[in-house]
Amino acid sequence: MRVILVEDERELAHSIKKGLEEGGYSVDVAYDGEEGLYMAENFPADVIVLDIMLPHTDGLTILKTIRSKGIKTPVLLLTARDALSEKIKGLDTGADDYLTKPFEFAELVARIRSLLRRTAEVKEAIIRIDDLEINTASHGVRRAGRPIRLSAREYSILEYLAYRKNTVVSRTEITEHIYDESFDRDSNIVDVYINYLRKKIDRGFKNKLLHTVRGAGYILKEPER
Amino acid sequence: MNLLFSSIKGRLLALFLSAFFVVLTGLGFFLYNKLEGIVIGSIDNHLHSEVQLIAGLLETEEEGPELELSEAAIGDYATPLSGHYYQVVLPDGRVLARSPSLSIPGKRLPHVRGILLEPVYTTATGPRGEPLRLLAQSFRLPDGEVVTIEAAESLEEAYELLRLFRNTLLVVFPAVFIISGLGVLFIIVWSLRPLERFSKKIGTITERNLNERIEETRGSELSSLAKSFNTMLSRLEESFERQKRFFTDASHELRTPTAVIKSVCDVTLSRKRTAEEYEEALEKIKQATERLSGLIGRLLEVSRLEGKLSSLKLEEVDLKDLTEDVVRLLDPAAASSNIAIGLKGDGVKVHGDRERLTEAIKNIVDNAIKYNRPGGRVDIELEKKDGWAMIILRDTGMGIPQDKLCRIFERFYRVEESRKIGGTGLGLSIAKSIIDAHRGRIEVESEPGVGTTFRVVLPKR
Repeated sequence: MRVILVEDERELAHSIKKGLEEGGYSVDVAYDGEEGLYMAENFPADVIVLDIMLPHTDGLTILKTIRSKGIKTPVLLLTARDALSEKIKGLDTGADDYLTKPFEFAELVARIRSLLRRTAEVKEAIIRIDDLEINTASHGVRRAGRPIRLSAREYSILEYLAYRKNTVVSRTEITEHIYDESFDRDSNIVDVYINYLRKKIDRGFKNKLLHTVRGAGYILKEPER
Repeated sequence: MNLLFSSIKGRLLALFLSAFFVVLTGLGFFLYNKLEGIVIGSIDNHLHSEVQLIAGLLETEEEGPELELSEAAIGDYATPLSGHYYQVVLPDGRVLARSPSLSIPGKRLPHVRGILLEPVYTTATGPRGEPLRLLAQSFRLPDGEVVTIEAAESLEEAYELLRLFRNTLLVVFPAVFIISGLGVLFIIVWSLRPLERFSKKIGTITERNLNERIEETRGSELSSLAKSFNTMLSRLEESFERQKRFFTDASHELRTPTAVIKSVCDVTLSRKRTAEEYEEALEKIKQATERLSGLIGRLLEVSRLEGKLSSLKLEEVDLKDLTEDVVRLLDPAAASSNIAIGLKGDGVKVHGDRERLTEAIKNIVDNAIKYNRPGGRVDIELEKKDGWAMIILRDTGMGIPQDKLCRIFERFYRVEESRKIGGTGLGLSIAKSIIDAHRGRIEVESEPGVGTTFRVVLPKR
């Protein structure tokens, strides 16, 4: 899952980025409004975390601009003010949620997850595909009740496919949403991770869940009966 | 009674009523006297012509003067005790003739003795005991004999007329007094009604609806009151707004470093870390804590200033000593950024609070150092001009864009470019409060990329 974080307070931005990355998210950080607007308009993202008070262009203006351009990425506003009017204005402008500073980091992550579920039309924290269970809160994965150990990257890819279960996801989409800018998009590293995942999830089971769609990408789907 | 006179209504009414009472009473006396004069005057005129007429009827006979009674005894004179009388008296007191109305024995007009060359009008008591107006005048007859003619007329009718008039006045004037009193009371209440509306309106205004205004009726004397009151409301609203903005700004400023601390703790504690990672986290927390405590100190400073600007500890302060102190205080900071501070000019004495003025100048120099380029300069110059002492501070820093110049003294205001460097955004606003309290001013001009010049102007001792 790719998150764009727009926050001018550098230390706070670094800390959030670090925490989210350790939770398996890819994070792009913008330190001012202009940069944030550019990223929101041009980078693929699953969630945008947006501070309201920003130099150059404030958060609400960014929000208004991207919504007017039809970008529907869920937006979580960060505000250092308790003013109710500001929150209401933010929600009316098209924000999906808000959080007042200072906040619990765990709450930020929980709210980001909830926004991801909202767009994926997955209602619970646990995503189920046949007998595969993916707990997006604890990052625990089980197949037929047996826990499966996955690396952070493997988990990220599985989670991304699970949020979009039963739809084909291209290799480009995976690289864009899972890895940060420094990642080399031409390498076949996605294929390598898909192979690892297939071994860990599908090996030994009759119903295969992870499929390759030749020339299009990958799909995580329920077996046809 | 006290209550009555303490209100404008009561006072106005009392004032009007007493003035009106005096006027009415005076008018009453005047009218009564005037009427009395007119009535008596007309009786006197009548008596005068009667006397002339009787004098014309006197004939000189051998044995003395005689009156043609038949002529004179006409009209009212014929009826006994009718109230119209005359008699002709000789100087020795003998009565030569009298009107038939006096023909009853014992009924006489009062005697006038002596010779009265000029007509003499008197008021006397008549034969019936009635009040009389009496005219006596002496005439010399052709034979040299002198007679005095007395004519009198009862004043009963005149007095009755005057009594009626007085009674009318006594009824009409109090009625007029009461009616106009009520009218005036109504007018007073009516014209003071806007004042009551004011007071009601003012009573409903609290800090929550300071944006409301009193209606300013044009042309009314109260409109200037309404205007002044509205101006006061505007000022109050502004200062409330400023206060509110200060609190939200302050909470915003306090929340940001708190958010950093919280987030760094949460993320670091979420799993086992290496010693280096813990160290890095602690370093970040330390920085944020320092920023927080600096901010709290500044906020305390601001609130202290708010409360105490009126109670400056005034003494004679030499600005030379003061700026030298500031330079000494800030030299280490300047040296670490490789910035040179120059100071020139002679001592100038002002009347001020040494500690606060030092704080103000320190804040400005601090800024000049913080936003300077490495190897830059801060030049401080003292000057005297007319009644003013000036401290001119020039730096070779990044400068302030023209459109931001007017805002740099606002609390928490930071020019975009300065945000990276840090600071609370309170220093200049504190400096300005202090200089303002000393009835001085701070002028600033700046050229981005070249530098900024602050000019602190204080009234000289």
